[in-house]
Amino acid sequence: MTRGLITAAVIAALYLAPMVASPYLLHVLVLSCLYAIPAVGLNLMLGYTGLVSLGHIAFAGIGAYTAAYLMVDVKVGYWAALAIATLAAGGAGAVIGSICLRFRSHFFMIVTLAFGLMLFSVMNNWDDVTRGAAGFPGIPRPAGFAPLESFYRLALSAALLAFAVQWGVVRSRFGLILVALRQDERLAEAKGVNAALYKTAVFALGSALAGAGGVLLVSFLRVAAPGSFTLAESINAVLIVIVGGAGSLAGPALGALLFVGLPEYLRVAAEWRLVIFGLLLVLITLFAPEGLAALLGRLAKRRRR
Amino acid sequence: MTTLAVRGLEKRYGGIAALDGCSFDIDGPGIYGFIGPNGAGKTTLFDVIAGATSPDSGEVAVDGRRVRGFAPHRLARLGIARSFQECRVFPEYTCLENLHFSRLALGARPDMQEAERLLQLVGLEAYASEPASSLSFGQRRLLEIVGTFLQRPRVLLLDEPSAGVNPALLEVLTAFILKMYEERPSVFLLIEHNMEFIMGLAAEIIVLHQGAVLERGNPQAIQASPRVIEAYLG
Repeated sequence: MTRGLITAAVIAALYLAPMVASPYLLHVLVLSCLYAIPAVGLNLMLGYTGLVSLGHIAFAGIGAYTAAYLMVDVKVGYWAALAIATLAAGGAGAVIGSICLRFRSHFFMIVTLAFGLMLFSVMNNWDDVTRGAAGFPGIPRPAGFAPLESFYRLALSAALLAFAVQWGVVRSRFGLILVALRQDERLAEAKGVNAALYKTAVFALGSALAGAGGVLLVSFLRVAAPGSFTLAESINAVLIVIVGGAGSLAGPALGALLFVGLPEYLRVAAEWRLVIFGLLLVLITLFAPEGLAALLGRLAKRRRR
Repeated sequence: MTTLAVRGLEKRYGGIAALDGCSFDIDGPGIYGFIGPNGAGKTTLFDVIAGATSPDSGEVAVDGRRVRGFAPHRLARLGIARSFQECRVFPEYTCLENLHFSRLALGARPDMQEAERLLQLVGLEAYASEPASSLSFGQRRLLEIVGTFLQRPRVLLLDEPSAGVNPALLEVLTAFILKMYEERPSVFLLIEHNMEFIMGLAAEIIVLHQGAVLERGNPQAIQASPRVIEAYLG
C-alpha cells in the first residue's frame, strides 16, 4: 500500500518535473530514462533468469539502425518504424540468443560479448546502410515530441511502459519459471520446464526492450553512431543492472539514474569525476552488494522500526 | 501393459561402463528398491530414465512408448518425476512456492489444499512460508520428495531418499511414502543404501552390479541370495 503510494507520487513528480527543472536536468533525466529501458530488458535476463549478457547494447543498436534506415531511407512513419525496429531487435535476440544459449555461465558471457563486437563491427563498417563510423544523421523525433519537455514526457512514458512490462512478466507464470531457472535449471527441467525455450524467449524479450530503447536514444540524439553501441556501453548496462539491484523491479531505474546522472553532475570536478565515480562503485559493491534497491529497502525497514 | 521397460542400456564414461546391458520390466504399480555397491550404475540408470543422460545404446519405454533421447521436461510431462541424490529444491522459493512450482511447470493449476496437506503429513507446515534455504538438509529432502508427489507421477524415481535424513525424519519419510502409495498406487523406484529402510518399504528389490541387473526378488530372497552377498562382499 505505502509502496504503491510512493511509486505513484514519484511518477507524478517525474511528470511535473519540466515545470521546475532546468533544460540541463531534463536532458539528464531523458538520458536516464533511455538507459533504463535496455537495462530493464537486461534485468529480466540477468537479474531474474541469471543470464549475464555482455553484448546487450548491440541489440539496442540493431533497433536503432533498423529504425534509422526505415525512417530516413524508406520513409516509414515514426511509430511504425519504432514497432518494426523493436520486433527486429527481438527477432535478432531470438536467433542470436538461441546460439549463445548453447553455452553456459562464463562461456555464455564470452559468446554474447563476441556477438556484441560483431554487431558493432557491422554498424561501424557497413557504410552503405549504416553510414559507418561517422554515424547515421537526420533521425527525426516523432511529431509533437520535438521540444525537450515533450520528448522528456515521451521518454518517461516509454520507460514506465518498460517497467510495467517487467512487472507483468515477473508476476506471471513465465516470470516464476525464469526465476526458477536462475535458482536451479536442472531441477526446473526435471519439473517439466523447457529451459532452452524459456531462456530464448527472455533473451528475445530483453533484446526487444533494448531495441526500443535504442530507437528512442538515437531519435533523441538525432544521430545513430556506432559509439553508442560499443562493448563499453554493454558493460555499463550490466553495471547499471547490478548496481541498481539485479532482480529487483526498481533496480534499473536507480542504476540508470546513478550511471547517467552522477557522471554528468560530477563534471564540475573535471578530471576527478571518474575517480569519484569509481570510488562510489567500489563502496556500493562493498556495502550494498545486492544493489541500491535492496539498500533503500533495508533503510526503509529500519526507519519504520 | 508394461509401465516401464528398460532394454540393454549401455553407457560408458571413458573406459568405465556405468551401464552394461541393463534390462528389466516394471509391469505395474509397486514400490521397487534398487540396491547395489557404489558404482553399480544406479544413478546413471535413473538419469537415463529421466532423460538427464542419453545412453550409448539400449531403449527405454514408458507405457509402451519409446522415450530414449527425450529431454527431461518432455519426460516430466509424460509422468516421470524424480528426486536428486544431492537433493534439489529452489532455495529462494518458500516451501509452498516450491510445491506450487511442481504443478505450474507442468502447465497445471497449483493445488493449494493438496500442497498444505502434504506439508502437514511430513511436519513442515510451520515452514510453509519460509524460504527452502532456511530448512535443514533432512527437511529439504522431505520437501523435495513431497514436490515429486505433487507432479502426480506415473513413474517416480527417488535417488537415495534416506541419505542425510536423521532417524526421526526417516520414520516420517517411510510413513509418508507408504501413505502416498496407498492413496495413488503407481510405480515408485527407490535407490537406497539404507538396507533396513528399503527392505521395510519395497515389495521387490532389484540388485544392480557392474551396470546390469544381478538379481531380482522380494527382500527375503535378496538377503539370502549368495550372488548378492558375493557382489557386496567380493
